[in-house]
Amino acid sequence: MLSAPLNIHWELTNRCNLRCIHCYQQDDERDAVMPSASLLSIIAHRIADASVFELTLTGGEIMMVKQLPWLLDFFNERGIEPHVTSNGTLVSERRADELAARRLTFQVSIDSADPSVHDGVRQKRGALARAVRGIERLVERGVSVSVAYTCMPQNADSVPGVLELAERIGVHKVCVGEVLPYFGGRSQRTQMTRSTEATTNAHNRLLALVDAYAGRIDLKLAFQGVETDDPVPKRQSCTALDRDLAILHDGSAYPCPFVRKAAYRLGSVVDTPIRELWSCAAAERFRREKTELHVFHCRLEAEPTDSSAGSLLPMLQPANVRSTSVISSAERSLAQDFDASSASS
Amino acid sequence: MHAAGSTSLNEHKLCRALRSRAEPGGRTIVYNRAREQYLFANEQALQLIDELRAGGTLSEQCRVVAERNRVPELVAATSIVRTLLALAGQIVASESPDDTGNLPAVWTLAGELGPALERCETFGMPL
Repeated sequence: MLSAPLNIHWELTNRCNLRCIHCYQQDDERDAVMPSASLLSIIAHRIADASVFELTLTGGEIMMVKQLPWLLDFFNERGIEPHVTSNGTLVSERRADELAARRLTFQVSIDSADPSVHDGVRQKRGALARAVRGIERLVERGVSVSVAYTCMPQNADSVPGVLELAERIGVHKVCVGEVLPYFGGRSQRTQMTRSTEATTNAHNRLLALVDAYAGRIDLKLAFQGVETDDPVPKRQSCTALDRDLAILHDGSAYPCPFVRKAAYRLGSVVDTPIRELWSCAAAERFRREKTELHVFHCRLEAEPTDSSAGSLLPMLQPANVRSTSVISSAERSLAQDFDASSASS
Repeated sequence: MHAAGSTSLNEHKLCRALRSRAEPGGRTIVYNRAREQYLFANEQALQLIDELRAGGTLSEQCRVVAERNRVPELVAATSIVRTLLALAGQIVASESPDDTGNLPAVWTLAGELGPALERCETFGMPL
């Protein structure tokens, strides 16, 4: 085990100007807050003290955090060049100037080059146009921008269009990820287990695109296959508490941004140095469950339901969705234990 | 190790760009942001990085390493070059410490911690 994380994912706020259907923070919405400057300062110092190498600054929508330039300066002065992830809709001329004056990489989520699909997923008309304009402003100023494409049944055929769009606006890196087995808020959660055939076909199409765009766009795949030349798609290794740590907007530390059950809260970085949280008893328990019981903790976050994405937005009908239980009996038992312990605490 | 590229190497610029963190067991993690790469480094590799970062020359370091380890300068030079090329991402570092005694050496995190740990991602998503 390492002495501290290599990478920290820090959600500076859980407030957002969009309501994306696949957002894993929907259940936080009622408590959405903007961070105080003092809280940001404390957390930033904790991160610097932990000597992490990579830092992902995100939200909610991070461009709503007015202290972002100060934070970027703070980390730049300590040799850290943060990765900033955003929906791209709030990158004005002024904010683009602020970002261009710092050392960072900037990632914008694009679900499709088709506005009806992207705006549908984002539940905001005009979201794609604004995100594209935001990217263009950053590219014009020399900021290193990548596009994140989250593959879901609703946009499974959109990758070629996203690549064409990226190339047209001067983005040379596209990162393809996928939604978790469950996504969205509890009230409208959708199960997303695809058939092996569909997964393999999608994976093969992506591999072909890697070759087709070689030298023009660096297409990074987090989509099933661990390596881009891997002929057999397979689940990625979980890196929670091996290399990565999540810090939420209030300073709470969790093993992963997708594991937000109170029982897995490691503590607060406001009170405790990150290295101590990294090796605390709760962290050790999480690692044992992951390695010895082979628990996929992110699956414990969701109650399995038969709801379909069609109930979210009529225009976004899922394809290749198979409604099967992906929760093992061991995981189900753990989930019940944690629900009980959370209720009693 | 095997060749993975042929671009030129500016060792001073490279060493100034590296960041490092000491880990238990006498190992140090070295991070190359430009190459999105993590490696473990031994004490002699760190000394080499520090000397080059401070402006030392490769020929000086060859003599220092040769004298310190009582090996021919050619052996020291080979070790240094392999270390720098691996740090620059131009060759793939070994998956465990080389059988180089106390000579400068770097090796991947993958052998000990798994391949997922040395990719520059956040919870599986490339950045």
